[in-house]
Amino acid sequence: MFELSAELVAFLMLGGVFTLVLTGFPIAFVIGSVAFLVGLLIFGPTTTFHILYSRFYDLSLNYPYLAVPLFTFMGVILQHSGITKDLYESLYEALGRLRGGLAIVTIVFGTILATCLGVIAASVTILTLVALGPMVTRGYDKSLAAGTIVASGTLGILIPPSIMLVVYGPQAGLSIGQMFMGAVFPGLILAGSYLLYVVVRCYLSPEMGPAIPADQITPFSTAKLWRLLKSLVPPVLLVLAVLGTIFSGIAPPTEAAAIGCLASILMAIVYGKFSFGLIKHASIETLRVSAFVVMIAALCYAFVGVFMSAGSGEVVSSLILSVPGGRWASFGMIMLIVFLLGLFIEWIGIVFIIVPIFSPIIVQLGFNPLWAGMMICINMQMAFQTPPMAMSIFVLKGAAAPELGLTMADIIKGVIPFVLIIMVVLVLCTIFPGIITWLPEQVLGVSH
Amino acid sequence: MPTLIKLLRFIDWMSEKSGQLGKWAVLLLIFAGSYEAIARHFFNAPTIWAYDSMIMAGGSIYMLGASYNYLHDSHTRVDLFYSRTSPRRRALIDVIGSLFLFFPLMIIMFKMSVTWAIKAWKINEVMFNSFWYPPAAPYRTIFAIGLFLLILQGLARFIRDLYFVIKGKEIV
Repeated sequence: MFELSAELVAFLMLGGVFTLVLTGFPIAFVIGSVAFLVGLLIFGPTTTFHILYSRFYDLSLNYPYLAVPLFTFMGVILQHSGITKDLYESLYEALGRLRGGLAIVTIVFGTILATCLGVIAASVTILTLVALGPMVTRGYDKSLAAGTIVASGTLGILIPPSIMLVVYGPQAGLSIGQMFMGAVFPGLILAGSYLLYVVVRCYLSPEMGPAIPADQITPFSTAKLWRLLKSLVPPVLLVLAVLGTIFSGIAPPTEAAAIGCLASILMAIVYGKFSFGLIKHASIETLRVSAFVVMIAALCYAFVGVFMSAGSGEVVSSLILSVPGGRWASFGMIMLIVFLLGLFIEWIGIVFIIVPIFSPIIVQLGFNPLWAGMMICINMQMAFQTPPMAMSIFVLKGAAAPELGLTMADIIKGVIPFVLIIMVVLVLCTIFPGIITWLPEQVLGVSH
Repeated sequence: MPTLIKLLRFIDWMSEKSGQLGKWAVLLLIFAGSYEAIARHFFNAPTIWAYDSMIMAGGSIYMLGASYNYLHDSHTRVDLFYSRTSPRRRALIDVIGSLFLFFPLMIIMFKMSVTWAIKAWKINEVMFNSFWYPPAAPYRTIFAIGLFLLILQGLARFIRDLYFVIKGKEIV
């Protein structure tokens, strides 16, 4: 065993993770092994093995995280039964004749998807498959098309229910319900700002999003409106009911999600989309998503156990508290670190490593933890869209039909304005913290 | 060589089955969660077993999914550079990564989990999360089995990658 200073341990552990994940080896094992090796060095085998095993085991039996598999399951079933291509096509017929109409449709559709799905890959994939082709073939600017899809698809992980909020809450000592409530207005404001941007941009330069001539689209009839409502209203109502149950405190998120799963199965039966194949598909997809999220979560939890035991948490905290310029400068530093990390690693790593380390600092700085947590979550919307590590962009690129000829440069150029919008929204939420805290305070009647 | 290929395929088969078996725990989780919510809210009859059943179902999903995800390469990677290197380089990264970042950690975790599973059976360990006090041994055993299958799948992948690095072609 070696006497290493807490500073050196902090450097070895964080530096070790951030360099070794770049090799491309699965991040769960990188994080776990760095904790394992550093732990061996400073605590010796017995203590290290105990910390790692007990934390891994405990996290595998975590009750709040059960909302991860449950919301994933509900999303997969809804995706296959209610909200489908029909919805996009109906919206297309209704709004296609506006300038930038298809981009508007994409954002509206993306926002609705976001309320039903909590996994980012799912919403970006669906948007790419149904919305990219029509926009590009209708002569839309490729960058605008790609940026719209990436930005509105990424809302899926912010607008509740979302698995990011599910795992963030417990890490910061916040309830999942609070996180969901706090995300409602920021999510809608982001969606609204994207809409505004597209409308203004296409108004100023119509060639970016040409209106479809009225004679080229089938007129919008009441029969279609009915079809649209039929495909849209029940799933959205279901999700709102689930959220309402959580917000009103009738049931904890885990139980509300379980009921939501049951209801989504019933809905699939009513729509005639039910089959055992669908249930099997949804179950295995749920297993895949939740097993990889929780594997990372469990090993990050073990990592943080070693990190904190070594006293490195205090090192980071004194470093951030010593930033000159008072508490706002320290908070700015935290936001900057989250943003920079987001360029290189995935959100799961950020949430599980950074949040437990930063949460006590945020409290010490005297910020409302819910507000600060939501600021970090909004900040991470950028992480999904900023290369080199940009999950949403990768998903879009992977799902885009090659004949559309979408290049990485097109996508990155298209994403920039949306990233700037997110920054503006962050500033807005700083000036008007009520955007985040108003709803939870109204519902829960508590103020921090 | 044919024996080795058979063995590798057998490991793949087990990982696949592990996931296919684990997926039923998802339905168990949904059932227990909705039953509890409905029973408590509408019939004022909360169950004593739902909480523990749910967390154990969840744990089984994650642990039985571990090897399934390794088989399907679903454990997230930062593929910034990884996706741009040649397949042979990628295999080399995985060989070295497995040796230093996978096997030591996972073998120790497995060893610990076996020790605890045996202890749990011997002393009839119970869970203290609720007043149901279910035995902990079955879940501790599933936990150990999940890690065992994960290590096996890691070994299968390691052999394939090593073969590819050396010979430049796939083993199966």
